[in-house]
Amino acid sequence: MIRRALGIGLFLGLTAIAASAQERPNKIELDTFFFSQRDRGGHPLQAEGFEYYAGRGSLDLLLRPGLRFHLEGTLAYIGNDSSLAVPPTVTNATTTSASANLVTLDALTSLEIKPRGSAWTWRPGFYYHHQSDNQSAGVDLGFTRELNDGDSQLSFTYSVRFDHLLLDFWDGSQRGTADRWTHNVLIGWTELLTPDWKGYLGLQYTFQKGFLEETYNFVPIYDAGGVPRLYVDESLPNDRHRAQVNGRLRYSWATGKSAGLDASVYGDDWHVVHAAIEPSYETRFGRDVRWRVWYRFSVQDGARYFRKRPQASERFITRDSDLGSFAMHSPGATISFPLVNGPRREIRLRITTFGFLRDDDLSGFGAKLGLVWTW
Amino acid sequence: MRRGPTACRRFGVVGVVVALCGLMLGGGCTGTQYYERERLQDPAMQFDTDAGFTFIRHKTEAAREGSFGGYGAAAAGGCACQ
Repeated sequence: MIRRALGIGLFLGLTAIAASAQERPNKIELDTFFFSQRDRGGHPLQAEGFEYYAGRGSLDLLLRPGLRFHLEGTLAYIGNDSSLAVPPTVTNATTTSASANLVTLDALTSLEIKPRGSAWTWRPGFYYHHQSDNQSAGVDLGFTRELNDGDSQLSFTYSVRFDHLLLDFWDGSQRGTADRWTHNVLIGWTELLTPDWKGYLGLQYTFQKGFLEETYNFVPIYDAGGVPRLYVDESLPNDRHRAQVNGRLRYSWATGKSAGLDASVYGDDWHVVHAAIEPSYETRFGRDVRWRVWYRFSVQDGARYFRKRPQASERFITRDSDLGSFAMHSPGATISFPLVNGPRREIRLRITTFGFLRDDDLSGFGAKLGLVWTW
Repeated sequence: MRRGPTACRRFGVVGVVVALCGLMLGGGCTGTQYYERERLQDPAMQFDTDAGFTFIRHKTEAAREGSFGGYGAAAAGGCACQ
């Protein structure tokens, strides 16, 4: 009897929460970002540091029951470190070009369609990216199927991207244009395991075809004494098969408090293998102040085309530090609290900091300040 | 006997299908009742709490770390370095 009364009480409480959420189905997000990458290692003859400043706006509107509209745009400025001086021992280059400081635009729009009484939700979307030497456009098609009274969610997303690239190279030459296609399939399963536990398993496959080099990357060729003599272009295959498995678990022992563990394993046919693990913890205190911290540790075994100090050029060769082997530590924290909190609207401030440190002496630090307005 | 690439690919596809079937069957037993989901629906139980941060994390880390992402966003596009 008591259990039944408690059940009815909880049901009424949840109905009230759901009704409250229904009263605030629309959302606007405004974010500003800063990220700085420091280069104290990595490629010894190439500047790999940069600074990234961005502003992002996002709008979610419930147009009518079962139909939601999403629009977001991000405008960013990327300032790259100046090129390093070419050693006088290099015989085929006196200067190198780095990617110019540039402005980028990302835009994304999508619909979320859930017919009345249906367990299916459909999500078509469009994507566009613009920068002076790179334009990208794409389509996203996805669905989610609820199963087992909402305990399970099967999701499927297919994305295709087409990139058009202007080929400005590290030696200052302009070598026409190139294209690249990317196909991405993501299958995800979310499961409410118990009233305290939630899990996710995702499988992702990506196929890329086209120009996959970074034009500003060059590879120094050394002599037997370890002195750099030549700079040559990075050269990589024109296709890449990439696969990834992600697992996520989250546990809550009290409302507003949770701990999670994410793990992923990645491999591709360039022989890059990468594994990562990320525990996180969230708690709530005061007047709905939420605080989450996380720490990500990952290790990568580099591509078979990566050469640290090559003495001869090869058909496929790269010195890109991101395709090499490394271990990385990435901590972060976010705090959010309501500025305005009412039954019909809430304005919440979110502050996030994060960073990374790699054992090849590349590091970075970033911060985000954002407002979320729901009504 | 050494498996050829076709056999390996077939094995991979079968493995994925078996894993998904296992998940669907395993999920067939209802784990929670609707009135037991208060904690699960709390924002603290969201895997990703902030879409803006997920975006910046993808932008700044996806090129660097092969295994990043996979939680709903496309793994490439929009950056020459990817």
